[in-house]
Amino acid sequence: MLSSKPSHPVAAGTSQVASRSSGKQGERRVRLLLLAGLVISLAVYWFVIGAPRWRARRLAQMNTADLTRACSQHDLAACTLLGNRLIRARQAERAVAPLKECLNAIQAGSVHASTAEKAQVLGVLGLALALSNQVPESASYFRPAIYQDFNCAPAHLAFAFWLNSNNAYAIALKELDTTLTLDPDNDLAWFLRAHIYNNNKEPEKARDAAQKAIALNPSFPNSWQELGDAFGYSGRYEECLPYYQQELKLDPDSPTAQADVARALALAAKDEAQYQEAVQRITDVLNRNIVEAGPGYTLLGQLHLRFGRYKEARAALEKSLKLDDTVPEVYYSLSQALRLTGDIKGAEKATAQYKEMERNFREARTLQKQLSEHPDDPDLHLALAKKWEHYKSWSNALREYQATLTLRPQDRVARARAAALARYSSQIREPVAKNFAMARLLNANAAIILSPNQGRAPALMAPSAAQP
Amino acid sequence: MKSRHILLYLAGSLLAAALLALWGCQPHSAVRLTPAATAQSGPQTGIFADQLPASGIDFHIHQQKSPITILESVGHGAGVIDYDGDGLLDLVFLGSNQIKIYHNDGNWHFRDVTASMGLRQEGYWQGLAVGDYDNDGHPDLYVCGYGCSALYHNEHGQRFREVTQEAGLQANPPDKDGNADWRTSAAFVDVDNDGRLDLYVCRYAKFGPKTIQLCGDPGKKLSCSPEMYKGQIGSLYINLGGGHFRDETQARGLSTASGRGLGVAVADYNEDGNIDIALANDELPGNLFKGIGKGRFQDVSRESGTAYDSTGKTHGGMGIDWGDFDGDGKLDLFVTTYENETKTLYRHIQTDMFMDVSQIANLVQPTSLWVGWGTKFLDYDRDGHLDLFMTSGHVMDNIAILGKGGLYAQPIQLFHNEGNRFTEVSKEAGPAFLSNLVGRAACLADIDNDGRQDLIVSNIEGKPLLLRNVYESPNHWLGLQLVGKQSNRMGLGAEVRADLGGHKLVRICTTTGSVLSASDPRVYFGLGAHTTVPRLTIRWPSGKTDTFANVPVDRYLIATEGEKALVPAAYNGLASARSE
Repeated sequence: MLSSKPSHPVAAGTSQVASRSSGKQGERRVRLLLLAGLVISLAVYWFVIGAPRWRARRLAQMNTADLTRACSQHDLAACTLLGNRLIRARQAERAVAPLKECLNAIQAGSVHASTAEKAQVLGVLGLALALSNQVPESASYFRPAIYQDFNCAPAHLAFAFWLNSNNAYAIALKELDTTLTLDPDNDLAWFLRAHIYNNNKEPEKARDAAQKAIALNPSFPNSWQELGDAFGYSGRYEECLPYYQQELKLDPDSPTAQADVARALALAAKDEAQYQEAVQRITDVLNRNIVEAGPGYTLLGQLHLRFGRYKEARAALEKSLKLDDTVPEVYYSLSQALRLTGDIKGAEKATAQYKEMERNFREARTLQKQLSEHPDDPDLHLALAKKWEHYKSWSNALREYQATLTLRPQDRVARARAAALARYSSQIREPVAKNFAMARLLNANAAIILSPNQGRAPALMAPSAAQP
Repeated sequence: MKSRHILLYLAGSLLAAALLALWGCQPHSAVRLTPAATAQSGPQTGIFADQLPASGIDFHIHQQKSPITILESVGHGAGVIDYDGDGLLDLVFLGSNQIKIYHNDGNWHFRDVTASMGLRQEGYWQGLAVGDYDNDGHPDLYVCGYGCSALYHNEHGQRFREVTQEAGLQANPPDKDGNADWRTSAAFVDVDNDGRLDLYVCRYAKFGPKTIQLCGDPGKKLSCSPEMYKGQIGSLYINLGGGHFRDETQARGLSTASGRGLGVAVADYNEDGNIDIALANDELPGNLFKGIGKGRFQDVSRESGTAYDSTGKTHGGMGIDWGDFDGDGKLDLFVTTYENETKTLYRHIQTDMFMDVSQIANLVQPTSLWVGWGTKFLDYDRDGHLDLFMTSGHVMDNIAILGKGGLYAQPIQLFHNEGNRFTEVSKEAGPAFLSNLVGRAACLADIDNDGRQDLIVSNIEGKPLLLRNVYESPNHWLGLQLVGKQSNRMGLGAEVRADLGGHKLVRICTTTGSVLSASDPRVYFGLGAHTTVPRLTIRWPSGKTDTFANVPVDRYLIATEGEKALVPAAYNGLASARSE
């Protein structure tokens, strides 16, 4: 077919013999050209697509030690893969040093890296830092990564984690959208999405995102935890239990998973046998300091209350109160236990205390809702700051006083209180704003996810601080 | 070449067949996902059958705008009233600028008689109460809503006459910010046992033209959460006699109500002879006001354990009802709440103390997804254990469009009482339970006097449900219509105990409970296999007690205060007789 058309118009007018011989030559030339083109295409394909894929496959088959070795020889792909692998193994802090070393080599010029490759290293390093409790430092890496290569998915993910830790959930979700557009199969992005939706109390969406994360990476225990939380937030305690149990199966030494299972058992208990099992499990995690004692005893006390063990409930709740007297629901449950054991005076005192704390908390929540609609109203910020201060939530109070000052710089009250709180901000430790046992435990879980100390009990609950 | 063409043809045919098969699968699976469509075609089966299509009731509601605000989201109620005393309960449906009354002609057929009833239509009507406030033997009607309130005197069963102004029950004028007097549920109740029915009216929130209407980001606006609005507090109107009422909320000890009240249920839960009032408040602590005598109340909301759920959380209380679910002779309380909140069952564990047993009673998991509204304890199978009905519907009409992961229309649910815990039986309850609606009010009534409790459910996006109890059971039953002499004429607030020898049942005479509803005032007992009631005791609001021995069953009896005998009601079997 190719030879039927003369290669040049002049050739068409020559004799048949000459035409035949020149036709054969032309045909050969064309064939040679085609062959050369094919070889060149194959070579280009190999260098552009084949070789990196082959290398990626080879690297993917390597164990962590081999990857570490390859990374130490400044193999950029090995370094980014190592980082991703350690992050998913929840050992993000171990990824930081080799990635930093690799980055130093790039910056020193000893390793050649394309802009995209450098961005990858920066992005994964940012992600590793964000997940190893070095969130502020992570910004120094994911930001340049995004500037250098906007298509760097790990950098966007690291940014999302950073935003999440700064409570900027809406923007974090947008960053996750970008991440997932670039890398739809990023299990960590789906996991964080689930986590944010759980924080936002959107359990349906959290459930979907967690299920996607699990489908992509069923061995990541935290995704199971998010799925459990999504049911737990909706009060579907029986349904969350198997997911927490899966979390525990994947990570048997995880204090979070043990706490999750204990809590779910306590909340889901319906009969005597389940009650006994739940009591045993909570007592166990309490004895082993796996959960913080205050919320743990609260949960135990409420469980005893529900099953009519009023004396035991009273003892557990009194213990909880001794450990932390800033938690409203302890007063509430204790008031019930006291009343049911005949201490009416004590019950009334506890009720009055609860009423006051609950009212403050509720009013703060109302102000927060109003602020979400009117974010530029200084009066609302000021009122909320006062509420938080009353509630002994100093950092929230400081933030709201500062917001008031941004909107109304001449506000004397806000200025004075912000200054006072700022002075004390370095010294104070405060209770978590959310005031219910379950939410507190869930918060503790969330902290663990981002904490490098996987084996340690969460220490979120601090004793109440003195009034600054 | 030929064989190649044949191969290509065959491959093409196979591909086309596969595509056709795939395409054909889709509509098939879509049909399977819409149970409502299949439900309509088959015969009505199950526990309840929706009688609305052939009932002659043309009432329906369609929201005129989207997104709806919190005002529209509260919705409109429904109730029953035998206004003409013919022994058959007639129906009342409320809407925006409409109060419709349908006369019960028997055999599940109704006739719109609104035009001749003399009811003022203008108003955003939401809640109602039924009670004979002047003890003339004809039940009267109170309706209320956003900026509107009307008391209608029943003129000998012929029509209603508005007496709002004379009674002193008119809505308050809007406050200085333009927020209207927003009334929701209401309850006729004799708080001081003087034989005259007083009126408790719930109020919701300060909402008006100057308050925020919709929340959320531009383009994603939706109705605001109740916390965006300050609560209004309900009022207790004392019946002074002569058709006059006076607001004595503060003097009677009810001014500490949390506000944003949606549901009210009254009963003497602690059997001290004084009626108590329970309120379901939206995202504010629930209220329990204990009657302490002479029409005065003490706020025991927190002390009693009914203000919050078991963890001390405030919830979005909407519907509410009293009932002794565990058969221990003490009235328990059930409150429906917002989505992802525990629909809370408070078990009355000892005097004045309640415990949230929702989880133990198996109610958390099947209900937590839904935005619960109207609810009633009932005994649909007459086994003597109180079952539970709940209707749900979201408050955001655009919830699905916004991708917030919820449904605007939601299912109605039926729970069978297994003794002291519940099993959901919605799937077996009938086709109506398989399709969703934006439910609000749920009222309980034996519409056809067949001794089976029926249900009426209001819907704010479509037609209501008229659920006829068709459950066949060999179990026996007893219905009592109370006639007070010293007590209020309808006997509202009376407590009736059936001693079945080892099994004691307690039921109350009330039209209250649920949300935006008025239910059948008759006291109903499912009796299981018992063919007589060995001992029946009525404790009247006046304090008097009437006791009867060996009461016959499977009929409605009329109990008149102080009289020695129970008289069979003339309407026993009336509905079926009319149909013949």
